[in-house]
Amino acid sequence: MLMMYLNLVDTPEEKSKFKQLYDKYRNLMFFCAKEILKDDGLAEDAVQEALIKLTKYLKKINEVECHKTKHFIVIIVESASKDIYRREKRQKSISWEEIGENYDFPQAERVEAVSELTDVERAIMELPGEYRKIFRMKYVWGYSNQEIGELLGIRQSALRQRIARGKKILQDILDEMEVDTHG
Amino acid sequence: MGKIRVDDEFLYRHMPGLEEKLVRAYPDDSELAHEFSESFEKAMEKYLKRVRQKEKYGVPIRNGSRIAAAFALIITSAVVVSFRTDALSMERIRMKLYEYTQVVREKETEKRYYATKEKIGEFVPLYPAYIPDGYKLMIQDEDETFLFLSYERSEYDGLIIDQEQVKDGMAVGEDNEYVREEKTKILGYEGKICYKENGVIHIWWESEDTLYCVGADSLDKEELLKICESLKPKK
Repeated sequence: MLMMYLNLVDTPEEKSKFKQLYDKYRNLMFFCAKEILKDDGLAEDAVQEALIKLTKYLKKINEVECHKTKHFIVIIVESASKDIYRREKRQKSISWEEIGENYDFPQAERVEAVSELTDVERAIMELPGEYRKIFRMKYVWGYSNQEIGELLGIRQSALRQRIARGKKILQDILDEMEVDTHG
Repeated sequence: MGKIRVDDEFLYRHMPGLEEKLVRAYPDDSELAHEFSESFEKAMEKYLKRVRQKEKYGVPIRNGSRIAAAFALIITSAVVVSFRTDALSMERIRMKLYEYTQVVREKETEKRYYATKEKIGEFVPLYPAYIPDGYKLMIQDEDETFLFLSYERSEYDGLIIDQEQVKDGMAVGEDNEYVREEKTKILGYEGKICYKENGVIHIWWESEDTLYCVGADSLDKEELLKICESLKPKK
């Protein structure tokens, strides 16, 4: 199966990188996809689509084993999963748990199980996932607005609105929690 | 002690610390074990047949949710237009300082811009001299190539003025799901007024090197045009 993907990439360096990414992250991709889609078959579909998308971005990935790359892989598979989620929701009249659209991995319960959060961090985790995901990409990993828009499939004007709205929502959460500058 | 203000500086300060904790929450290898199915491998063979088309037409494949799509043809040697055959039409348009390719799909029109000159001039942001009563400026976000203004009259009643200088390779997706469009002129440039079914109106236009979009939840066409025509550079 791996050889099929390798035909999609161009240079020997990219093939080697792709193989490393595939070996390292395919199970994590399946794990994330299944958290959104709750189904093994659909999760595998999402992994396939994500791996194909990934070939487009190989030149932008420097190190295979680093947190930024891991985060990037998760974004790609989340995006592929949400495309499938929306397609399934349109095509089938079944009620899907409304987790897909607002999903941002990892979820709050997982985080709180392993780390103690400050008040500010707790407030950020209360943000809807779509805003937190954009904030992580912009304020941690340094993606430009253009890159964020392209990866998440959002127009620039809509992205700016989301950033602005996310800040406002977070402000409201912090005000309600009465968190001050020492929080 | 003081009230927190959520701005860029605040987020740059707090997000990295949270991100470290998020990374610690990723599952370890024992949670991740999965054996992929035989059907997974077979499905990938189908994708590869489509990928071979890449060699035949010499176009890159844009792979998104529509894996079943076939491929669009190159229409000029210099410009690759589209990667999906859900395109309803495509054309290449030349303007003064840039050219763009336009692909119309069912739900969006994708425009991809290419600078025809090595260096485009400085971006000159425009500010509205007129804003209807009750609207307050909530967000002003800008850098040397764009200005984004967001006003609100209430939580669900907003107005945005968005302007961005064209950059080489920039792709813009315009919403196609309008029920009606009217051609118009804004500040001397060709533009269009677009109506959505829910009453939202967007006005789009382009100058020699900048894209503009003004939209509002509840303002009518006349008010929006008045806002657009009031746009001026800061003195």
